[in-house]
Amino acid sequence: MTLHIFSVSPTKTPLLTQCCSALGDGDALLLLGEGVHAAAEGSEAARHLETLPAGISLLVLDEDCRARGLKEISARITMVDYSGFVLLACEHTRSVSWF
Amino acid sequence: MLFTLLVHGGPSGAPSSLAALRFAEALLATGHSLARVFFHGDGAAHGNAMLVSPASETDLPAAWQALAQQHGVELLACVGSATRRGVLDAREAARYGLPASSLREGFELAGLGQLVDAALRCDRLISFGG
Amino acid sequence: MHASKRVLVICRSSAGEGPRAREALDIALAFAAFDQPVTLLFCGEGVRNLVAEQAGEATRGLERLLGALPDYGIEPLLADAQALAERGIREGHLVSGCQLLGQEAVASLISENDLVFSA
Repeated sequence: MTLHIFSVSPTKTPLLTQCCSALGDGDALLLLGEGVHAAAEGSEAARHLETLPAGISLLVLDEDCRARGLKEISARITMVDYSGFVLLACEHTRSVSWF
Repeated sequence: MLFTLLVHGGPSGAPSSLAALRFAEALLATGHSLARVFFHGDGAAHGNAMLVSPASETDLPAAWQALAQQHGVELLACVGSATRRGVLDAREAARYGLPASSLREGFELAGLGQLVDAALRCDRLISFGG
Repeated sequence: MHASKRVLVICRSSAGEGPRAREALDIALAFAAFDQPVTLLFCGEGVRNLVAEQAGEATRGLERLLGALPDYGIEPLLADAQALAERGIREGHLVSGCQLLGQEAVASLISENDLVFSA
């Protein structure tokens, strides 16, 4: 199981599409830094993420949402803090950072 | 678990660099261990003793220095990335005939072999970039 | 002596745009030099590194470096077929030793490796 860490704006490059196509069942995708914009409720990126199979966990870092004034996030995506990020890293045998 | 972190982003302006520090703090606070932080590419600039951080920003190099001292973490800057960014220890400065060394205390220059070593020894390697 | 780890290096930057591409290759070489099994995948702008006969300051020597990778056990050079097609790069334009990969194969490639680096 892989933890994917996505940290660039989904509107700046097509990287999120490539990241999503590399997700497998049981993987987790954590949105971090500018990547949190992909969690914005109603955004094209969030709508795309909402189509991912249920076996893929979607998470977003709370601190980075607050830093960017992002208040409404997609219901499919769970907020975590840094200790949650650590836990994700422990639970997944490998990580891939997308930036 | 034993972690190694790989930091690609520079110390000033790269959001991922602050994330790396916050992650390190969280893993230590939750009882895990951090063996080494390897600074590669723009990340090697963290090892520059001559950087002045604006008061409004977290002084990342100083924060890493303090964390390393407190928890016995190795801070390694990739020598190839470092020298092209003006981060040199006394040996490299002498080798290139440059007037001074600029390596921040608490950091060491190292080859990528040290990244390999850490990656093989540790349970988890997390990369921070962008 | 530690158990070996399978390493995947994903190169997503082109040498023409900055040092990130070389840095990805340096990481691949470092692991290979320590006898770790390394797989190298070029995606996105990274596929531009596979174009033969580049002669700029940043790109000169790249072909020779890529040609030497099999000596380190790094072969074939995997290239995202869709990224090539989007950029109008045909197989005939590429250095030797490339193998095209569909995007649907990337997930299983990741799961087959213990460490994944990308740049």
